Amino acid sequence: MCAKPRQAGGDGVGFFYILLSIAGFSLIAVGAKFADLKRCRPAPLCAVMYAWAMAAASVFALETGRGPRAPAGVYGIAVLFGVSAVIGALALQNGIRYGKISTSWLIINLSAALPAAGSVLVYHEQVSPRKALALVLVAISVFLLWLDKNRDQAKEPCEI
Amino acid sequence: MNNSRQAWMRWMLLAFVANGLGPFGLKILDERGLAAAYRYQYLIGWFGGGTVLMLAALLAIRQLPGKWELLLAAAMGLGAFGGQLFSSLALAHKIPGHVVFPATTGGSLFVVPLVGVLLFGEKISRYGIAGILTGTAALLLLSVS
Repeated sequence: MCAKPRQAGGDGVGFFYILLSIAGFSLIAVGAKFADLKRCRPAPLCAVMYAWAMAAASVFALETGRGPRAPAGVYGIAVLFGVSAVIGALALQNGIRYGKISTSWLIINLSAALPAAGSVLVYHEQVSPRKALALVLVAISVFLLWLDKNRDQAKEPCEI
Repeated sequence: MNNSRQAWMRWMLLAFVANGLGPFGLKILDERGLAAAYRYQYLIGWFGGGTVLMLAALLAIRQLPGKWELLLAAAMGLGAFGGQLFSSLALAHKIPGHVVFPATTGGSLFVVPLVGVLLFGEKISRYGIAGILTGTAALLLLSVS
């Protein structure tokens, strides 16, 4: 696949969307915490979560006036990667039966490196020194949070 | 290595690859110039594919969702939709994928412990505080173009 090199850039609005995206993903984790307190089962929770998200996307699609109509390629990519994501969620739920939630959750978060690496390798995005430093800091931060979780489990060795 | 450890490794390797590949579809859509016009249709397909697979799994294990599962899943579903939608909008505003994906996925790692402390009274060690501060510094660096 050939693509023009892209300079790292973007505008303030784009970074505002990143913050909103972080808030959205955080809502999943906070909801999961509440669900755990209410003793909700993971599989029905995950199924209904995806169904609600699909419903929300459908409402927004109707707002565009185009409804669900899109080229087959759009749905082909969407279903392929959507199924991949839900397989990841199911694998996580199965995996945490055999290991600690802290290390399992860390692995899920580290998986963000795959699309990031894909963006650089497939689409030749350029990484500035400042952005590279930020990404290194993200890795250090994840490691520190993992140490924090390990410390918690050393004090209270019960697994979720 | 015992069976339990091997099982965990197998499941987590699958989770790493499958979950990591999930968001990359947005990047492909953006590079093909389709993200702006078909953002919501893409999300219908993305969540629809997952819904169909999960409903099939529910049928197989014969479980029905309860009241709290319906309610909390609604909030989590809106979070999942919002997370994907705003990632897509960030890409559309020419924020590179190598910034968007680690920032959005990793960003929740910093927000969630804070919510844990403020809302659930959880305790954070010095490592945790250092991690949150480092993460915040990383996000600030990413936001300075």
